[in-house]
Amino acid sequence: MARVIITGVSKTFNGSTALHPLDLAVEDGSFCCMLGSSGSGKSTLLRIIAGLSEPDTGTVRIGDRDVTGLPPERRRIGFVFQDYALFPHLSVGSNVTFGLRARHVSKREAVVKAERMLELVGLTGYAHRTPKQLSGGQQQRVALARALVTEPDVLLLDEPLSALDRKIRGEMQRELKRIHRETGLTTIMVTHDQEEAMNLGDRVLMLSNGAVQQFDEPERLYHAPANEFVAGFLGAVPLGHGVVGTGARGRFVEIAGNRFALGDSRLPDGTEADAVVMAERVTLTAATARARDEAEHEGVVVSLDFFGPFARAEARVGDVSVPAMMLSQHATALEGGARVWIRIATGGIHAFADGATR
Amino acid sequence: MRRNPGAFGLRTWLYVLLVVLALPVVSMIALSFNASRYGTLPFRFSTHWYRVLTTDSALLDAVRTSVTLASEVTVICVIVGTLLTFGLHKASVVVAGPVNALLLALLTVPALILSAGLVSVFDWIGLGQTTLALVLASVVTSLPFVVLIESGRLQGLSPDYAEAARSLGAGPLRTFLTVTVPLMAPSIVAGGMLAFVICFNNFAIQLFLAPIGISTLPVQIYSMVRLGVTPDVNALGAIIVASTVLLIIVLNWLTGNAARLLTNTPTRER
Amino acid sequence: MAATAPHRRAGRSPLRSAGPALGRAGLLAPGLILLVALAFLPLVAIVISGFLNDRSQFTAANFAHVLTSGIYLKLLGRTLAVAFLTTAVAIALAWPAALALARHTSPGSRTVILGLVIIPYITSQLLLIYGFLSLIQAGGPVSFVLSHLHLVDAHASILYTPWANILMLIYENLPAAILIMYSASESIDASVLEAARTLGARPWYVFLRVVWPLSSAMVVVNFTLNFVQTVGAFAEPAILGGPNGQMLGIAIQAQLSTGASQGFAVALSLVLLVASLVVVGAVALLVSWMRRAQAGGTPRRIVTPATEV
Repeated sequence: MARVIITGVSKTFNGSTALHPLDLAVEDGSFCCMLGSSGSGKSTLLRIIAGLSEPDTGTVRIGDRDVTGLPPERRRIGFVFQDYALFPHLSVGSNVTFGLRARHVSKREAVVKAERMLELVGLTGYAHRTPKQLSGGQQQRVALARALVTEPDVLLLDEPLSALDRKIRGEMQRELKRIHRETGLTTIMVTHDQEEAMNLGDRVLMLSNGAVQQFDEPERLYHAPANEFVAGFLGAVPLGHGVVGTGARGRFVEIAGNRFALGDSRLPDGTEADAVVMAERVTLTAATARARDEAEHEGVVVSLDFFGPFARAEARVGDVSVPAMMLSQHATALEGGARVWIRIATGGIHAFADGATR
Repeated sequence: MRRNPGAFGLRTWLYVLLVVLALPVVSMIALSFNASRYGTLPFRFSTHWYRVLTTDSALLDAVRTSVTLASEVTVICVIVGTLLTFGLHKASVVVAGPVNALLLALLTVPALILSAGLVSVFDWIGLGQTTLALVLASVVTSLPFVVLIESGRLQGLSPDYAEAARSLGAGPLRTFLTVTVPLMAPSIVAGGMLAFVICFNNFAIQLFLAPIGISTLPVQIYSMVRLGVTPDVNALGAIIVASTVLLIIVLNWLTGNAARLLTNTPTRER
Repeated sequence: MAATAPHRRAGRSPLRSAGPALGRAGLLAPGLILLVALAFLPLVAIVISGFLNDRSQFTAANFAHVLTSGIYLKLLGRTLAVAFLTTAVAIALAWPAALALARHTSPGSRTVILGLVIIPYITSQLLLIYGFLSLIQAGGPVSFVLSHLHLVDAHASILYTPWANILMLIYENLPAAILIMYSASESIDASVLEAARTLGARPWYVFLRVVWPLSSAMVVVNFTLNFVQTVGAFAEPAILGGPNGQMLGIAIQAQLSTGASQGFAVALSLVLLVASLVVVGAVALLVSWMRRAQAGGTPRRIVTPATEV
């Protein structure tokens, strides 16, 4: 088990920059999620840590070893691939013992360890099957067992759950959490799924265009996104362009003549800023139900979409369109064209100056 | 790749091998411009052997014979092979199985051994060593290549296109002619080109089945080489290699990948 | 033919169901006739005529002659050995190059390189032999360079020795070997190789335990195709090999050309074909045994999968 420390690592492919020079320290025993869309550089960074790709500049340290020049087989890592990459010609058992045999562990000892590891991932008795006979989730577990059995210093996961269907993904997330808790292994996982990153990571590294946008705990990422990109990636919707000011009830951002309350914002009054809103923090109440609270805006429902457990409404406040996400049971009282009171919870709106600082 | 000695070594080996592969061909082309009567160095530039070639009636006749033969065989192979491909595609296993096995046997059995069998059969049915026997034998050896290439394409063809055409109101015949055949066209042309090459090069069949007094190009070269080096063969070889390069470029353009085509038909007649 | 076509579902008009079946027969007929007459019959004829003597009497004398003749048996052994050697060497030489081609070249240069490999592959074998001959003959380019480096005598050449024949056969086997091993290498998932590295396997271990078992089927295909064709070689030894470079193909060709004894030529061919198929079968068995031995896994003391779930 070990810390992973990355210093000044950068990478270009055929002249286009995949990674700008970046530093990163992943603490011993922590679970770090690297989050970003495709092309953000997250997989490149993971492959550089694994030694499957070489950085143009910078160093990678695992524990107290500088592994920058080492080939992958000498880095003491466990790597789980997106497509599992199980050896198709080997049985499940032989897949798991592969790393041990490559390190000259005796066959008998390797088999015992492999069985213990298959037990950890819940696949006792599957050693003689071939990978093809297993479901996607089971193959993923084998890949995990195969990576863990060599007792690596760090576990690297490259979008391990993206090929699985939704239901199994949730199950595997709990499984990964449990295994991380039981082994205490430093784990770095790449994902494009923000919920997965939030659920699993102690800390989340948000990447875009080969540069770090934010490296923080999941809660901080959600409640205090560093810039418009991070907020947008986590689901915030643009509200509009306005000016930040201070009024009787605290900070606000004024968009097209409407003042929307801001939580805490370090932007000075008079700053031009882009505001985003989190739809799940907006509540709509039918105007017929009760009188308007003075913190609420008055609006008109423009559209209403139903997604089973959830519903999404779009309301207009003057020229500003405000989205609202709610449980569908709360949407029954609403209808298109109806007048509504709009309440936006504190911290539901973030404003970012054009320079992108919060 | 800053550090990857393994990859560097492998790549170097690849280039070494390519040079070795090119040597006989390059040497043939180079020597075709060399004045020496015996194809020996030192090198003195001359186009003499190309002039000799234009007057060497034996070689030119042989080229003419080979091109005629290969063209006839190609036309027959393309027609029969295309029919066979579509037939096999629809046929039940009872028919398709043995036919495919037969095609595979034709690809595997050395041409020399096949020739021995064909000589016997033609003797029995009274054809003996005639032009017809030569054409028929050549068709049989080239046909598997056409079927292999075309059926590879046909199997890879999504039935969606034909079904879309049917859903738009086209009958089976119209669908076949306006959708399936155009989609198959590259593989039909590629199969034809390969049939031409295979037939053109098929030395063993031609040696044993060509009528007496008629020499195809490989047979002619064979008889000349046994008497020693004659540099006008170099000149002819250079021209043929140039046409081969042209052919590969056309094949690549037609099928996107000429090598893929040939790895699926990984043999040639010897 | 129509009878063998699967019956259409009920509810369609008989005309419509008869149409495709008849069409199918029409498509198949010319090809089938040609194949039966000119592929199946010759193959049968090979077997039959091997058992006929000069007066068309049925006899096994031809085979008895081949199998009791020391000369022919020696020639057979030599032919198989030369074919085995040249095929195996060609695969061994081609494989690393094919790996490089599949893994370590850009797509653009790959197309060009494949094109270069195909040139000798589809060039007339006689031209290649001729090119090779002019390359290695005394006074030719190779001898010229080597003698000017004072490595060999100006008139020395391996032409008309068995080595010239062997080199030529290796050369002829190379393009197919590169193409087949290229497609074998290409079909191995890159991430599987990377997975092996991350699990601590050195490159050589990766080759032995991952690349080899995943390519061995293609190696057998490669071997089979090249070996059987090489066994039937006769132009190469006849032109390049000199008196000591003889292979069985020359004997068959001589018998066929003189027309003296077709039955005997065919018997020789059959013995050659069967012997080479035996070699191919042995190689295929050996390779699949190796593959199974490796795949094995943990000892069989856990319950077999079939009994649970």
